Amino acid sequence: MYESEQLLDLHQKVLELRRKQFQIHEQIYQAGTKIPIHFAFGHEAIAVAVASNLLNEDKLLLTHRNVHYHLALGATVENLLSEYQLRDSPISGRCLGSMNLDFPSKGVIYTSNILGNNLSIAAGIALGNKVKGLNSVTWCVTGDGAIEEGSFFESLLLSISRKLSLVFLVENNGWSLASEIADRRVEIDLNLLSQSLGIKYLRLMGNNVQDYYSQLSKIREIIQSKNQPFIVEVMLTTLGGYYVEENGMRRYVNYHSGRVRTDLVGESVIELDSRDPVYISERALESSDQSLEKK
Amino acid sequence: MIGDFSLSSYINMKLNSYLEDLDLGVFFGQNVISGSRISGLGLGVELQEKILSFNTPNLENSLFGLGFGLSIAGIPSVYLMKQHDFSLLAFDHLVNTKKLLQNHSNLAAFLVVMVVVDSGYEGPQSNLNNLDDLYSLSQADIWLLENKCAIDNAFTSDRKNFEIFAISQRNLKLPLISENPSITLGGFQVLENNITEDFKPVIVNCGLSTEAFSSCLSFLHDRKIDFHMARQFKMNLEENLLFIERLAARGRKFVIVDGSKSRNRISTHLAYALLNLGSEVLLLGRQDLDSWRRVSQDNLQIDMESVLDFLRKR
Repeated sequence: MYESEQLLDLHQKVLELRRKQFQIHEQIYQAGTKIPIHFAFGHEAIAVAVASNLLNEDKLLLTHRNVHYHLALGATVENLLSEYQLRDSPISGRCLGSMNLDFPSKGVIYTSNILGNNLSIAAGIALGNKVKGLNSVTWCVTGDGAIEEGSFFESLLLSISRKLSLVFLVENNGWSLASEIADRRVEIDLNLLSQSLGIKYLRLMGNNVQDYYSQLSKIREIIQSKNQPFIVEVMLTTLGGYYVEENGMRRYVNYHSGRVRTDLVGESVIELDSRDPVYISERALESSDQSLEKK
Repeated sequence: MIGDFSLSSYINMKLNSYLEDLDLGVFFGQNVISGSRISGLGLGVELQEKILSFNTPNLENSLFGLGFGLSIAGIPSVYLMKQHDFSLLAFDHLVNTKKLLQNHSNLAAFLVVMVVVDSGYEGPQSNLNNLDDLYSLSQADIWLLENKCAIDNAFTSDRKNFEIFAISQRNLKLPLISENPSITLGGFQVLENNITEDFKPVIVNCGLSTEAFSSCLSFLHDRKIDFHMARQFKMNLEENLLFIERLAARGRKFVIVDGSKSRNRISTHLAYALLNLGSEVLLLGRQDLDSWRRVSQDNLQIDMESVLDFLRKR
């Protein structure tokens, strides 16, 4: 576990991650290139918390929206821009582009842009590590859209049947492309689903990186001692949404990919409440400064 | 020795031997370490100490993903499945995951052994008895385990990170056939000698259409027509074309038998290549596409007189 100073450092990492995403955004769109990046403004806290929990033999599997994890794991803006333009870099160097980018030296060994594709791959990697006798954890990032795929249920069944040390990390932003959950399906209660299969479940919300880090550390201990999978559902907001006029009505559309429509959204990539991890981290750092001054 | 084996028992012996040579490995599938063990194909694997073997739930898509994940983790695995139709559920992995992993290094071998249910009477829904489409989309190396030679070739080849071994349901319990080819070049084996020294026609079997092929051979044999025969044992277009180029250099006539139900047949590519090289080709395949929709014996019917006419024509 981190000491108190290190925990504060996590908040700094959240701010840094936001700045770097902005830098990538500016450089790509100033250059006029058409690279299909799925920015993750608003996803910084969970990315920093996961990256800080990865140990040597752990593996992390990502989705098409992966920039936040790569930056949290130490990729530089220059490295990522190189990879996006299919040039060599110390990250992957395998011409995988923005949606399949991996980072093997940091444990990111598979990234899929196909919804739900990485779930069973993660089960295979977790099983492989178990066969090798490694006491590691495999972390598989997915989303509220991918849990609709049959492969999610299949992979849960497989991982609990084989007692795999595997975390299914569901980033739930409530949207799939431009449709809200309510526009496309009934609610899926992951807590109930996991109970029915005998899988542990935890919901994270509030975007406090320090809290997320601590909770994930505890989960890691449980997984390693009991050899079992875990579902972690993170409630978050993908910032950068905008409004469109449809049939005389003003409708909100969530940000999905590409350029943030700053002409339409103004400041909405920065929110002044718990939807924005940067807001939470800034408050945490401010209150820490104040308490130091008092001392 | 040959007489002691059926096709399935010989494959089982080879499979056990392959797994025994591994330092660590995983063997999985539905009903593979209990019950019928897929017509005996998985018999005895569970006794191997270095191999983790287990029965799985019915999750075909994820079982392909499991194998690819094991491959990334560096653990070789064998997924034994029946039946081939269920691979349709895993086309995402067969196409996209396979493509994504082509630049990965240090991948362990992931081998899928699948039974192609070509026995007929399966009903109109169970309609995927061909491997052409599977090969076309995945571009995986697919081996057809039809006789001892083909099985030996498949198991002794250097393992790639992903391969499929396909076995005909019709042939599983038949006695093992031993055929010693004079040439195993590319994806075909030629089963008689002197192929470069005369101009006899070549009767080629594509895919798993064994019954139609055999009846064609015996028909010609009864009429004392001298011919070479060749069986496809690997789905690989580049290797097949190389083989055909060598054969066609002698200007032979080719009769190609292809029982697949696909409209995208590898035999069409072979026939086209042969025609381009100046050969004469008779391609025998399914014409009555409506028969797909009926429950039937599912055999390819060949008009033997047309074969005779083709061979006699100067």
